[in-house]
Amino acid sequence: MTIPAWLRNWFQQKNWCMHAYQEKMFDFFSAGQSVLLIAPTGGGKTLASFLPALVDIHDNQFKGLHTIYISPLKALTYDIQRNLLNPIKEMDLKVSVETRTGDTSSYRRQRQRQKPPNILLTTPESLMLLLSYTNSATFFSTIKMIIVDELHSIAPTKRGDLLSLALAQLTAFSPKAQRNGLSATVAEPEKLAQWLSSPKQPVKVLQVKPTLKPIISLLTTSELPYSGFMAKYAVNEIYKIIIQNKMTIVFVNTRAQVEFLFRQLWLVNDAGLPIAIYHGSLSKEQRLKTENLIVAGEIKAIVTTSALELGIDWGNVDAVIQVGAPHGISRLLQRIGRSNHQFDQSSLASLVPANCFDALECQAAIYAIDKGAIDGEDFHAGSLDVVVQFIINYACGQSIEPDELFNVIRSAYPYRLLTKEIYLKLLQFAINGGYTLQHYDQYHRLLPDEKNTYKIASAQVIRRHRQNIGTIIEAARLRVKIMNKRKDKIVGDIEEAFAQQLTPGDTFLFAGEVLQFIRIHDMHLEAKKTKAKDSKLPSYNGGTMPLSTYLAEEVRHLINTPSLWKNLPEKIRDWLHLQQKFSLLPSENAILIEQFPYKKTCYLVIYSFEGRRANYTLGMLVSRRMEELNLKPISFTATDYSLAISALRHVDENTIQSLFTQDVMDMELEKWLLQSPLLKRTFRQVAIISGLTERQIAGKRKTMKQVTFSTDLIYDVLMRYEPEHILLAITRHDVTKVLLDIERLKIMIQRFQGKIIIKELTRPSPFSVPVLTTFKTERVVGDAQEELLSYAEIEAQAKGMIDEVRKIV
Amino acid sequence: MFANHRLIFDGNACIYWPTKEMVIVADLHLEKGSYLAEKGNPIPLYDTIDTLSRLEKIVDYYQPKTLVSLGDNIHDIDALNRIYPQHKLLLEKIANEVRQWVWVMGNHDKNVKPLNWASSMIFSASVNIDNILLTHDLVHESAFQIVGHYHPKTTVKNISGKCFLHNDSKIIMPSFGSYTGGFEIESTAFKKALNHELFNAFLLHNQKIWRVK
Repeated sequence: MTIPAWLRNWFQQKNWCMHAYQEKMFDFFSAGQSVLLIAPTGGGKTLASFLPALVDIHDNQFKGLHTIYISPLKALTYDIQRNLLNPIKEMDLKVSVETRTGDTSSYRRQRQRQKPPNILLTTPESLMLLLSYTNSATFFSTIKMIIVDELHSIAPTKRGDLLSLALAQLTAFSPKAQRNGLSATVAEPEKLAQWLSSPKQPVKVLQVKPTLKPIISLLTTSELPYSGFMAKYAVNEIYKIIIQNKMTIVFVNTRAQVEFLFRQLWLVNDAGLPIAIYHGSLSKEQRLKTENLIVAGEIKAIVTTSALELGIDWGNVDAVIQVGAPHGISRLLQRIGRSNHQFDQSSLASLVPANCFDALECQAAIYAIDKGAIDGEDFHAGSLDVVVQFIINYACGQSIEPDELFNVIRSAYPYRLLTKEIYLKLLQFAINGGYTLQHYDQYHRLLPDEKNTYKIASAQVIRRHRQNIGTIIEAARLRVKIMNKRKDKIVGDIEEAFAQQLTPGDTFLFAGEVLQFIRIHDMHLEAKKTKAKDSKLPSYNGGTMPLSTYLAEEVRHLINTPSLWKNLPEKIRDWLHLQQKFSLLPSENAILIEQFPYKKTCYLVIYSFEGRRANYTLGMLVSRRMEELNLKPISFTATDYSLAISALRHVDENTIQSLFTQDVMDMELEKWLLQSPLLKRTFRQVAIISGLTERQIAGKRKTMKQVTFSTDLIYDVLMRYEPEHILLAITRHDVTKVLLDIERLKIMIQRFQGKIIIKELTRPSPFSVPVLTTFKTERVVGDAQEELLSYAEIEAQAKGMIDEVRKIV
Repeated sequence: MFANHRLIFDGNACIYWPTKEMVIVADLHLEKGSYLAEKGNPIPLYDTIDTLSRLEKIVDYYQPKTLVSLGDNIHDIDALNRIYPQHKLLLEKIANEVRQWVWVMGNHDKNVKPLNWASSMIFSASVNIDNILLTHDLVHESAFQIVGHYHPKTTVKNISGKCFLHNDSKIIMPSFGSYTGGFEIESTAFKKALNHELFNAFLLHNQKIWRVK
């Protein structure tokens, strides 16, 4: 296909020149070659992927569905629609574009099924739903191109598993349809391309090198504290950056930080700049309102979490600030990429560490990005509960011929190694539950017919399935309702677990305001606005991202390479030197464990660098074992880098060595798993995804508590009567995936077997100060003034501990 | 002590009344599994056999003369048409091991036709024993009563489970059926249902029983 003159003219009119890779997309399209396009955000890659489709549809007056675009975010489909409709209008093209998401009206859906648009923009779940209709084979038979956006973010997840199966079915309907992927820079593009490919559609990688590296600076003042997460000290500096730029995005890691920082910024916002807040817990209306303000350029700065990480093109952002540790290089790059969507200019970003270790991590990330390094992705084998959902979905649209369906499933990359034996078990579960001790035959979901094929049993099964499509299972949430004399207002939702710890009269920060808790009623948390400054913080739930293994290595490397310290702030260098003299710097090929007396107990501090959740688990397992050895452990605290355990007894060197062995880990883990609610919680997810039980049903809404309870009951009964059932097998398998951190711990223990260095000290080392004071900084509550005082007090204490060390060395 | 009688709360969700040689359970909800299965939930239908097996163990242990099941013994009116023949045999076996089995009717089974499976079965809306009324739901005018119906459940330090509720005049039993969920006693809805009356709670966990402060 040659690029038509009208398209070149349009580019000229816009004063754009067509990038080489944009032209290449036409060659690939002509050759019917699938391609994974890897380019930094803002390079016009989305447009590039659509251009051949626009030309093909317009020039050939194509009738029917030509291109399906799949995005992980609903909002992104609307954004893309806007971005396509403009050029279509300007060039006067005969191309129809429509979105299809959970928000699409039933009238529109009906019409779309009868008269599909040329280009359909949708999400994995809505695509699945479309595939469940009986006319889906005809509906999709005409497609020539499939585009998957943000492929890097969706491929390694359960949603990705679902999508891979949907793609397999699309290819079965239209074998020649190209599969194009769009992705930000990834460590292993070939792997991602393989994920997207099918036996019939190999995928080539087209990598557009980022022309310019981002310019990242580490923002520090001498006030950088030893511990803490809120970066309170830097509010004035952050405000300065906001003033200096047209539009700034401030990324933080948890929702608690969003609320905290937003409020602190408004306290210093003397100029009354329009600073907004945005996170996933806000209501749809609120988010939409904010999004529109951003697009209109009416906002000076926005404080947000990962909710604004993906996709949407906010053209006018010129600065990005990351507050707190970045945790991963890919994530940081993604965030930085939100600024400056111009191909030929560097993105600008500032990193604001919240404590000393954060500063090390920020600096390590800056070095890594400079080297062009990036985190590796973790591609797992496809989840089996998703297969069950797919089988039922498939059966809703057409009858199942078992071997044929097996081939479709195996053509999806995550399921290429699925065995026939497992497949048949999953199919059997889809048919009648597959319970060996059960002989009822009136409760089948699928019914066999003479030809050894299976049909869906009833319209009820179809309805029930369609309401339950998807793999995202959210923690139970309550809607937050602000009560007002005139009109009540829903402002967002909040974790049920957090809500339950509130008592009437308690205050908390939400949507940037201090709210007073009234009561929980009908799945709503009722609250009223208050002028009080006193508030509790929203919970930390869902906000702790694991530290990437690669970045952890980089931090170790930075610590061990003094020549790299020159870009670190003075205070951090001093801190590193003190640690070096007084104790040891944790080396790259051994684990450092310090033991010292502190506050009348013995402290063990383990520098694992494996992330907070992994350290937390390690703390739990090790203190259990210490209990058995009568070492009288009292408590433990975990940070991303280290774990501190306090005990009444001093632990001798051999015992310490024996605590951190593979055997202990395995044994304690086994015991702990049996007692923990983790298996049951995982079973609940498996049960919902595989269709064993329903998620919340419109109209007869159960509370999540009830759902939890009933799947727990089923779990108990099934364990007693049929412990080998396929769903229990899936649960046991999934638990190990949930516990990725535990895998990391195991690898770490293996790696450092016999390489544990134990250092006996007379007092806390400089490196131990952050973890020792973490406990307190996490629990600071009170009004703004009190918060300041508390932080000051903790910091003074930390400084005192460091000064004591200074006296000695 | 309750109404001057010594009653034993058992961690297996039943009450044993020594002087009467009586075992009391509530809310068996037999065939709830198959009821849900009819609605399209492919859940394992092992709840009836599990419920009855546990009941059998209790009866074997206490060897009571009288077994009282306090209503909602079956989940719905159709349950007895769905029950497995083998499971029904177990039900009859239990019935034959006691001198009488009083089937109190609850809201789920009030219209069930008394089937004479075993001669020991007595169907009744309630029974009154030494001034204590045994019935499904609370009755306003009665002084002492033992009831089911509410499925109380509570949580102590992340341990969540069914519980007994008890005060000077009332005992509310935990539900016995394997697929019966519970209602959190701290929830407003639950408190409202009991007119905010105060109770002691006894949490069941791993077949043991714990007093809750």
